[in-house]
Amino acid sequence: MQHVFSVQELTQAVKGVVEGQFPLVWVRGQVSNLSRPGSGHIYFTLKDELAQLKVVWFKGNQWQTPALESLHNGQEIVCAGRLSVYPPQGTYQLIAEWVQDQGIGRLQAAFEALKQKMEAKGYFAQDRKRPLPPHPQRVAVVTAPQGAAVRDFLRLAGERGRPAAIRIYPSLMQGEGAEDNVIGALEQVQLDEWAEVVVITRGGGSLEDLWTFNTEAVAEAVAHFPLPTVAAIGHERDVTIVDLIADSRAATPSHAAQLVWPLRQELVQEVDEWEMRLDKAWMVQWRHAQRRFAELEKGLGWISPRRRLQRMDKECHRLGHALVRTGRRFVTQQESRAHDSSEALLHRVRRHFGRTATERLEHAGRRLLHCRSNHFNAVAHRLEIQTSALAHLNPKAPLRHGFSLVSRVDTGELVTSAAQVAPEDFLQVQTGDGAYRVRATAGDTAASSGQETET
Amino acid sequence: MTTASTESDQAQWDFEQRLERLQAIVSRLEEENVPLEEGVALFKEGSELAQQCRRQLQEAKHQVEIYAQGVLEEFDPEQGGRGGDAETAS
Repeated sequence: MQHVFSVQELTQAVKGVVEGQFPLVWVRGQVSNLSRPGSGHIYFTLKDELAQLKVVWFKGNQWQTPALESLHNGQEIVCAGRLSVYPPQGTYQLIAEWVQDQGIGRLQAAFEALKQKMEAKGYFAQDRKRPLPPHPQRVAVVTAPQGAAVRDFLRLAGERGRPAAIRIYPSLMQGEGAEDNVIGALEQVQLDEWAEVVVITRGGGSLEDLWTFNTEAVAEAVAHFPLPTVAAIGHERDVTIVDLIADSRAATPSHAAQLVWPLRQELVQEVDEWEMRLDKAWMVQWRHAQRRFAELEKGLGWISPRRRLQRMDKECHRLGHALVRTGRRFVTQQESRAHDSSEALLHRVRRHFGRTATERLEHAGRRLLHCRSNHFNAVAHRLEIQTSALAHLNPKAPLRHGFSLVSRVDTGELVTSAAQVAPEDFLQVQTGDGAYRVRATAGDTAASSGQETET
Repeated sequence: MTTASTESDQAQWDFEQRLERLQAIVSRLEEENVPLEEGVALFKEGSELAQQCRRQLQEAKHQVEIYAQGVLEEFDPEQGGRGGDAETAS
């Protein structure tokens, strides 16, 4: 006879088998019938197309995991836990110990893995970042032409920069085929050799939406792109691998336009500054020319003959005047000095002798004059007497009476002795009215007759 | 330095070329003594260039093109963006 189990017995037997067979399992499925009662335990059903599994996530097992807050119906998750049988309900269920969003978990892990790989290759290094061209004239934009990103980018670009050309390289930016599309667009940019900088932009989205920019192929394409790259993928909080690799990372598509071009007003200011420098430089040039002209004009004046004559004339006048002035000054000075001296003398005399003394002086002067004339008369008388006496003493006076003066012609000495004369000597005989020469003969004989007579 | 070009050439110049020429003129006037007549001409040209640069900035409009089936076409963002914020290629 077959053993008949009680319900409890059977349930316990199943429980033993199930729990023994599946101590810890990983199971994947979609959340449904999610319930969060006040107890803090979480109940839901994990299902796929063909089966359902009840799951209990007790409060004691709810470790800090992102899935705890975000768990919602329809979500694909992966659960880890023990399979258990619940006898009161006659059901089996999974006692969850770990819950993770399936997509996020996979993508997150892949993101982290790629990030580490790229970092190891040095793709995030700051010294690898190339500066953007200061005033790009040709900008390539890899984006979806129907997206909001390109509109935002172009709107901002319209207020910025010098007139530039923007070329849009259309591409899928998410979903199936986006990866190849983006790489293809980048290749086209490279092939065209037209752009100075490339902007890769798209709007915000979920991690899955942005996934294209976390793939290794796209990351490598950006890392090896020959031109400076600007990445504006999603919103500020969305960070993709491409954002990290690009030379510049913009928070939003609008921000990308700001990074690429300066505000137009700043350019107007730049032009203004150049114009001011132009004005200043020209003023310097102009002044220099003017100064040179003035110098040349002056120089020309100096070498003109008329100016030279005028200058000399002027100089003559100046010297003449100076001469006259100096002469006058000299005369005046002398006059005044003589006047001063005579005044001083008179003053001193008066002071010394007083008035009566002056009178005495004048009297003495008169007496002196008188004395002088007396004295002069006496002297004149004596002079007459002396003159007459002198006349008697004139050696030539006896000659008038026949005496002669004889002197040697050669020496001129008077002959006072016969011894002074030798024969043949010439002698001069001076008479009262003339002279003649004689030649001496021997002895004391008479001299031969005169040869010549002087009158 | 850039040599002076004929007026017909300059009429075709873009902002870059004009600003570059203006900068060259300023450098020349700043660095050397220029014969008066040439200086007058340079100053006049520079002032006109500054004027034209400002006008170009006032009227500045980026030229936007898009590759469509391998051919460059003018791009109107309002038309292109009609599809909302779809991140898809046309």
